[in-house]
Amino acid sequence: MSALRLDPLFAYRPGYAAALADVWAAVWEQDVVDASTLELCRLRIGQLVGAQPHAEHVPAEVLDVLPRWPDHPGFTPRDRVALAFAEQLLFDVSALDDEQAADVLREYGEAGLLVLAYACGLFETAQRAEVAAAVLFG
Amino acid sequence: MSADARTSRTLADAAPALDAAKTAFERVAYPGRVDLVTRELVRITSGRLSHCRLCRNLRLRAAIDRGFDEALVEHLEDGELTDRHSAAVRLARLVLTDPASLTADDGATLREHFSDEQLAELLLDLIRYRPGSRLTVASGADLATDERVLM
Repeated sequence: MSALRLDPLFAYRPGYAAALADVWAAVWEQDVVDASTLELCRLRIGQLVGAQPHAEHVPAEVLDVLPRWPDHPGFTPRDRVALAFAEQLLFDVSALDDEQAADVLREYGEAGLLVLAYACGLFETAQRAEVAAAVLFG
Repeated sequence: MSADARTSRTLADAAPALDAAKTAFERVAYPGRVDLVTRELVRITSGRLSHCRLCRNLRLRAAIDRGFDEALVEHLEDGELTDRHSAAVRLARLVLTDPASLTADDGATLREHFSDEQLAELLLDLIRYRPGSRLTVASGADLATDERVLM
C-alpha cells in the first residue's frame, strides 16, 4: 500500500482522516485490480497534479519514463489501457467514450472499471490535498 | 438516470470492503466543524468542476434546512458571496484545478475565517467528493440531463 501523506489532516480531524485511511487501505487491498497497475495510475496522476509522487510498488526509474507511457517499451498494452483511463478521468471524465471504456472492460472487467474509476478519483484528490496541505499547514 | 450504463455491477458487489469503507467515510463526514452551508458551496463547486451532472445538481436537504439558498449557487460566479464563503470556494477551486498555485496569502485569508481543524475538514471533503463522481460518470450512471436532485 502506498503511503498517504496527509499528516495535518490526521492531526486536526483524526476521526474523519482515519476513515479516509480505511478507504485508502481498501483500495490497495481489494483483489480486482493489481497493486502495480494502481501504482502506475497513482504516480501518473500525481505527476499531472504536481504532487511529486514517490514510487512504492514499482521501480523508482518508472517515474522518469511514465510521462512517455503511450510509446515507451516499458509499459504493456494492459498498462496503457489503465493509464489512458486514468488520464482521461483526470482531464474530463465526461468525454470518456465507449471505445475507451470497452478497452478497460476487456482488460479489467466490469469490477475493474469500477475499482479503477474510484481509485483514480481518490489518487487525484488525495494528491491534490497533499500539495495544498503543504502550503496551508507547512 | 442514464440509459448508457457500462456495467450492471456496483462497487458494493465488485469490491465489498472498499464500498463499505467508502460508505463509512461518507458517514463520518457529518456533522463536522464547518457549517453546512459553507460545505454545501464547496461540494457544489467540486461537482461543477467534476464533469458530473449528478454531483453538480445534488442538494442536501440538511443544508437547505440550515439556510442554504439556490441564490448562493448563482453567486459562485458573480463574486457576491460573503468573504468566508468566497475563501472556501476559492480553496476548492485551487485544490481541484491547480493546487500548486495556492499561496501563503491564500492561507492567511483562509485563516481569517477557518481554524486548522476546519481547513483539514474542508480538504477531507474535497478528497471525498471526487472519487464517487468518477465512479458515477465512468460507469455510465450519471444523470442524462441536468435536473435537481435532493438528498
